[in-house]
Amino acid sequence: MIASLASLVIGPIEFALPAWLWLFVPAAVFVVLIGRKSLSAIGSGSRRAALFFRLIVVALIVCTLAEPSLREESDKLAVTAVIDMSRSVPMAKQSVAEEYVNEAAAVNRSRKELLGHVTATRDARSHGIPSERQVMLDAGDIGSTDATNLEEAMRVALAIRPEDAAYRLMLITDGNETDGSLLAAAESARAMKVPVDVLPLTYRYEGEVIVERVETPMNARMGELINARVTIQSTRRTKGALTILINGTPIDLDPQSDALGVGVELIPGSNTFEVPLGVTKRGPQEISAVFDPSDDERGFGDVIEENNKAGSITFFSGEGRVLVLSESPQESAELVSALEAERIGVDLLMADQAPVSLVEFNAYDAVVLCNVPAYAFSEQQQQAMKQYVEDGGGGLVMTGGPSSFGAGGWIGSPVEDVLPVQLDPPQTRQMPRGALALIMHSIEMPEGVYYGKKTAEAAAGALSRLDYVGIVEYAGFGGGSEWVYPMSLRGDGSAVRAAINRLQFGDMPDMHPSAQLAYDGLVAADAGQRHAIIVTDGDPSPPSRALLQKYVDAGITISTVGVFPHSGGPNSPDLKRLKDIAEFTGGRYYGITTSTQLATIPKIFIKEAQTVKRSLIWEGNTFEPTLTGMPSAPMTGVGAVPGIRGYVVTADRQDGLAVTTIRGPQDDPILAHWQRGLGRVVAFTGDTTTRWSPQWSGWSGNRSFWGEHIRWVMRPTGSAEARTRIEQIGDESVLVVDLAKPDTGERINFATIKGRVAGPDGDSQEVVLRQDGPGRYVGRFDSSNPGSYIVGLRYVSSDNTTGARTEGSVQAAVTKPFTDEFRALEDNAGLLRQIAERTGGRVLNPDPQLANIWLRDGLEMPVSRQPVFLTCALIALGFFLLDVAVRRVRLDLGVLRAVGTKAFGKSAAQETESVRNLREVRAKAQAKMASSKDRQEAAAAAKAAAKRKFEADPDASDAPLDVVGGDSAPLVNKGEQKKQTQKPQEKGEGLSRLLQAKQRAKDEMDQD
Amino acid sequence: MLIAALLVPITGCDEPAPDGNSALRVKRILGEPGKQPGQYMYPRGIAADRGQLWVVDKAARVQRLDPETGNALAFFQTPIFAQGKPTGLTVAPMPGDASQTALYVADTHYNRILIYDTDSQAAEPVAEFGSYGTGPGQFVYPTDIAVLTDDAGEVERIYVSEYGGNDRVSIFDKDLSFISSFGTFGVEHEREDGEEGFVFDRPQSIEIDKAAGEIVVADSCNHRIGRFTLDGELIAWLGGAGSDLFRYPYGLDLVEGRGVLVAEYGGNRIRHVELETGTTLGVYGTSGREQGELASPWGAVVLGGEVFVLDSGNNRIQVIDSPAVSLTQNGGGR
Repeated sequence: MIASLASLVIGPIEFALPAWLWLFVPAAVFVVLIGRKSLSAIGSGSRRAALFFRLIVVALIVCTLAEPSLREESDKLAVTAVIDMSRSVPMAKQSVAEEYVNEAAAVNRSRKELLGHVTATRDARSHGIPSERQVMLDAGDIGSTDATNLEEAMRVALAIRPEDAAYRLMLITDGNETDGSLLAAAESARAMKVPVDVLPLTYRYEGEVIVERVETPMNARMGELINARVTIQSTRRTKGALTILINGTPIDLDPQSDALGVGVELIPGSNTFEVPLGVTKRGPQEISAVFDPSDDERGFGDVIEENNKAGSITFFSGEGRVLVLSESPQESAELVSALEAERIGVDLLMADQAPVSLVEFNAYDAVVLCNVPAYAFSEQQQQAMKQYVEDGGGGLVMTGGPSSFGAGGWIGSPVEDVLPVQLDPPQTRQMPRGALALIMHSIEMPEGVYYGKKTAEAAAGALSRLDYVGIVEYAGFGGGSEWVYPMSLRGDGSAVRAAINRLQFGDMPDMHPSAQLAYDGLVAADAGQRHAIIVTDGDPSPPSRALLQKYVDAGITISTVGVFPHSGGPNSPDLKRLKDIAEFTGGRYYGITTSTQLATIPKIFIKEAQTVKRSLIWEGNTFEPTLTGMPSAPMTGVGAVPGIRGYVVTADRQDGLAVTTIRGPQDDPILAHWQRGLGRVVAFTGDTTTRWSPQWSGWSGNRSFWGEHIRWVMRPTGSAEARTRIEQIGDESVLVVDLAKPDTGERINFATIKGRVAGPDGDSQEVVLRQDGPGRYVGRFDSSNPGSYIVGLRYVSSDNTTGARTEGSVQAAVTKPFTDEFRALEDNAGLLRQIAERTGGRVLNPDPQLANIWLRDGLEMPVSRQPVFLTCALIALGFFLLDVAVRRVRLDLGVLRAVGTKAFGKSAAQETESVRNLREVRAKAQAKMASSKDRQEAAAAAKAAAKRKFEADPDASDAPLDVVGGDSAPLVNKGEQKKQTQKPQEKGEGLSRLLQAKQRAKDEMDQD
Repeated sequence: MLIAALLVPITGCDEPAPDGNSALRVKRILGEPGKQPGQYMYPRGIAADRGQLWVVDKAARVQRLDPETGNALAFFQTPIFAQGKPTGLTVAPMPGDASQTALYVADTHYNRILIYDTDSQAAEPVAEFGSYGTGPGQFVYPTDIAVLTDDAGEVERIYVSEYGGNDRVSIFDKDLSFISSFGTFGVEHEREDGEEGFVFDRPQSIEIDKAAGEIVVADSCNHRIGRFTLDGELIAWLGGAGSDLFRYPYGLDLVEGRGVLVAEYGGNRIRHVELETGTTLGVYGTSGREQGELASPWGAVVLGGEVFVLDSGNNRIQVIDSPAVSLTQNGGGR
C-alpha cells in the first residue's frame, strides 16, 4: 500500500516511499512529550539541545524509511537516425537521406546532443551508437538490400538507447516493408516513451514495367507443344523486347531477326502475350519471361530491373532416368554397365557437373552417389538432395569407397539425415581414431566471426563421435594461447559446438604457442591419424622450425587456410609462410581471397577433417557377407552375394525404420534401405569397383542386383491420371489435384495423398490435401518467399469393389518471381504518419534547416538516482550519539587539566580538587561505617566507585548521569535518587548502590 | 565498530584483481568505439612528443588528439589500406629541418614508412621510403620507427623495426639511405638456421635513449626487451627465457631515471621497468572492460606528466597520472 504511492521530490532528494514521512508528526510529538518529562532534570540549554537532536534523529529515521535518493536530471538528448537503404527506395533518395541527417543534425547542436545511426535493409545494422562525436553518417556494410525489415531496425535503434539521455528516433524511409511489422516496433517505442519522428521518402514510379507472371501447364508430355502465357503490367505506354528462357537458356522467338526476343508494345495496365513452346527434355523445365525496354524508352521510368522477370515450371513426362555421380568414370563404370544392361536410362556426370537446384535434381527419378565425398557438393546441393528425396519423392543410392559415407565427410551433412545407416560408428566399436586440432585466428572481414564459427562447426561436425577434436585460439584476456575445447572425444558434438560459440577470435601475435599447444594435445591423443588446421589472416609469426620438425617426426600434418591474407601477391609473406608450414608438414594450403571463396571454407574443413577419418574404412581379407533374410523387395531372389574385402564402417539406425539386408564383420551394415519422406534410399557400404568388390563384376547376379535396387528407389510413374494446378493467393498457394483412372476417366475418390513442398530457401513443409469434390483434392501451403516451390505428391487408392490398388506420384511447382521489395511503385507515407502519431513523434520538415531534430519538448528527461538511505541512517546515528553526549557527558575542566598534565609528564600525585574532595568524603564514610555491615558495604562500594568513576551504569535509566566532583552539578540529584532507591537492585555492584551507600553515610555523618 | 561496519559497504574494498594487479586510477578517458573523429576502431599505434598526441586505428585513420578532451585536431586516412593498416607511429623532427615536426607512420602491410608534416593540414605524406623485400633497406611488415637526432636537433639516423619473417631493425641515415641492420627471425630465442646470434620474434616497438647511447627493442613474441648500442650491438636482455617478466611487450616509452613504460599486449597491464637492472618499479592495470581495466593494450606514452594508455581492445585511451615517480618523457634521441 505504502510502496504503491507515488514518489516525492524535494529539491535534489527523491523519496521512493514518501508515505513514511507522515510518521514524523506522531513520532515528533511522542519524542517531545517523553523528552519534557525525562529531560526535566538537566539544564534548559542541554534539554533543548537534546530535544533538538532527538527530533533530528527521528526525522532522519523517517527519511531513511522513505528510501531517499539523490536525484540528478540529465539534459542530454540522443537521436538515432534509422535510414531505409533497401532497393525499394530510389538511390537518389537514399543519398538525400544521409545528407538530410548530416545537415539537420548540425543545426543548434551542442555537446549535449548525441547522434546514432542504424540502417534498415533485409537486416538491421548499427553504424554508431548515439554519441556526441557522431557528426557525418558513414554507413559502411549495410547487408542485403533486396528486402526491408523496418521493425528490426527500429528495435536495434531502441536497443542502443543511452541511459543518460532523452531519446528520439528519426525514421527515414519510403514506408514499404517486406519483413516484420513497423507498427509492432512503434508500439514498443511508445511503451518506452520514445517518439518516432518520420521523414517519408516520397516517390512514384510513373513508367515502371512489371512482368507479373508466366503461366504454363503444370504437366505435359515430352515433345508436346505448350503455351506460355506472360502477363506484364505497365504504368505507361512503352515498348521493348520479350524474351523467353527455358532453364536459363533463351530461345529464338523470331528466327527472321538477329535478336532472340520479340518486340512488344505495352499499354497502361495489364498486357498478356502467349508464346508457343516445344520442349524435348524430360522432367521439370523452368520457363521464364524477361522484358527488356527498348533503347529509346530506357531511362524513362522502368527503373527496377529485378521485376522485369518472372517464371514458372512445367513437368514434362517421359521415360524415367537415373543420374550417376562419381569423381571418375572408372569409379562408376561397373555400375553404369550393369544398369544399362538392365535397360535403365542412365546419365553419368562427374561430381563437379552435378545439378545445383532441386528443380534440376527432379529431372531424374533416382540419383546414385558412387564413392563421392561430401566436399564435392555445396551445402545448397546437399540440401537439394535431401529435399529431392523427402519432398520430391526421388530415389537416392550411396555406394561405398574411400571417399564415401563417414570417410567421405558426410557425417553431419543434410544427406546423412536421409541415409538408412548411421554414419557414426557404434559407441562400443574398438577402432583406430582420428585427432584433429583447429588453431583459430581472427578473420578480419565483415561476418568473419560468423564464417569462423561456421568453419569450426563444419570441421568438428564432419568427425565421428569417436574422433578427437580440440580447438586452440589466442585469448586476449588470458594473455596467450589456450584450449577453447581441449583435445577430447567429439561425442555427440554438443560440447564442442558450445565451445565454438565461445570463440573470441583474438588477434594472435605468433603461431608458435598455439601450434605447441595443439602438438601436445595431438600427441597425447590415442589416435591413429592426427592432423592440425591453422586458420589465419597470415600475419602472426610462424611456429619455429624445430616445432614443425616435431610435427613431421610424429606424423602429424598441418594444413593452413589463409583467409584474406594482408598481402595476396606472389611475393606475399603471408602466403609464403603459410604454404611453407603446409608443405613442410605434408598438409595443404588454401587461400581465401574473395567473398565467394569464403563460403567454401566449411567445405575445405570437411575435406580436411576427412584426413583423420581414414579410420572408418575397414580393409582386410575377403569375407562372405551375411544376408539377414529381412523381408525386402529389392532382395527378392537374392540367395547370396560375392565376397567383399573392404567397406566403410557405419551403424544401424536406432529408430528401427531401416531394413538392413546384408551385414559384414561385427554385424556392420553392408546393405540397407528405407523409405524417407516421399522417397526411398539405399546404402551400400562396399564399393562397385575391383578395389573392394573384385568378385562382383563376374557375378551372374550383379546386373539384376543393381537393377532391382535402382528400380526400387526410382520415383514411381503412377497408374492414375493426375492433373495438378496451383494458384497463388497473396502469401499462400492453393494446390488442386484431380485424380482419374487413365482408361475410363472415372474419378478416383477417397484416395490418400501425401504431399510435401520444398521451398526456395531449403525449407520443407507438409501440405495436407482433403477431398473437395469428385476426384478433386485441395491443399494450401505458405509461399511468401520469392523463388520456386516444388510440390511432391504420392497417392494411394483402393477400389472397393475390385480391390484394385492405384498408386503413383506426381509433381507440381509454383514460382514467386521476385521479392515484394520490387513490387512497390510508390511510397507508403500514410503508414509513416501513423507511426509518428502513435508514438508522439512528428513528420519532419523536408528542409533539414527547419527539421529541429533536437527538440526536447514533451520528452521525459532521464534521471539518475543515487540511494542515500544508508547515509541518512549514519547521520541519524551521529545525532543519536550527540543526544547521548548532551545528556550524559559533562566536561570536567579539572579532569581535562589533570589528563593534560599527565599527558605532559607531570606527577600523577597532583590530584585535582574534586578528587581530593571525594577522598575526604570517602575517608569520613569509612570511619563512620567501620562498625556496621552497611558501613562496610558502603566503603566497598565507594572504593569500587572511585575505581570507575567515569563508567556508565548498565542499569542506569535515561536520566542524566552526574559526574562526581563537577563544579555545577549537584553531587547527588535527590529527586532521581529517590526514584532509583525505589528500583529493585539485583546486582551487588553498581553506581546506584554506591549512591545509596554514600547517601546513607552522609546522613549518618550529618546525624553525627 | 558499528560505524566502521556500516562504512565498509560504502567505501568498498580496494582488492586486487585475480591476476594480482589493480585497476588503473583513471583521470579521464579519451575516445569511444566509432568511425567519427575522436572515435576509434581498435587503435593500435600511439605516439606523443613535442606536445602532440597521435593515434592510428585498424581503419587506417590517423588522428591527432587534444590530450585534454580527446577531440580530433587532425584526422586522415593513409593513402591505401585494403591489404592492412598501420601499426606504428612516431613523432620526431622532419629530416633536414629540425624546426618542423614530422609524424612517421609504419605502414605495416604496405611495407613502407610514410612521413607526414604535422604542421600542415594536408593529409598526404610528404615523403615515404621502403618497399617489400628482405634485402638491405627493404621491409616486410615494418612495425615502428625511432629517430636519432644530433645536438642541434637535426635528424641523424632513422631506425625501423619489422617482422613477417624479416624480423630485424634497419638503420637509415638522414637522407633515408640504408646503413645497416641487426637481428634476424627466431622463435624461442633461437635462430632458424641454427647459427649463433640474437634473434627477434616480432620487434613491435623501438625507442632511442640518446643520453645512454642505446636503442631499446620490444622483442614481443619472445617476451623480452633488448638493449642495444646505436650500431646494433647487444647490451642486455630484460625478461625472456625463464622469466615471466613480460607477456607480449608491444609498446615502449622511455621515461626519466632510465625507466621504460612497457605496454604488455598479452599481460593487459603497463609495467614500469628500470632499464639498467630490469627491476620492476610498478605494474598497473588488469584485464577487463571496466574503467581502469585493459584489453590488449598496444602502447602507453607519457605526455605532460600524464600517461596515455592505448586500451586497444576497449577502443579507448585511459589517462592516468604518471605512476610511481614523476615521470616525464625522456626525450632521448627524439
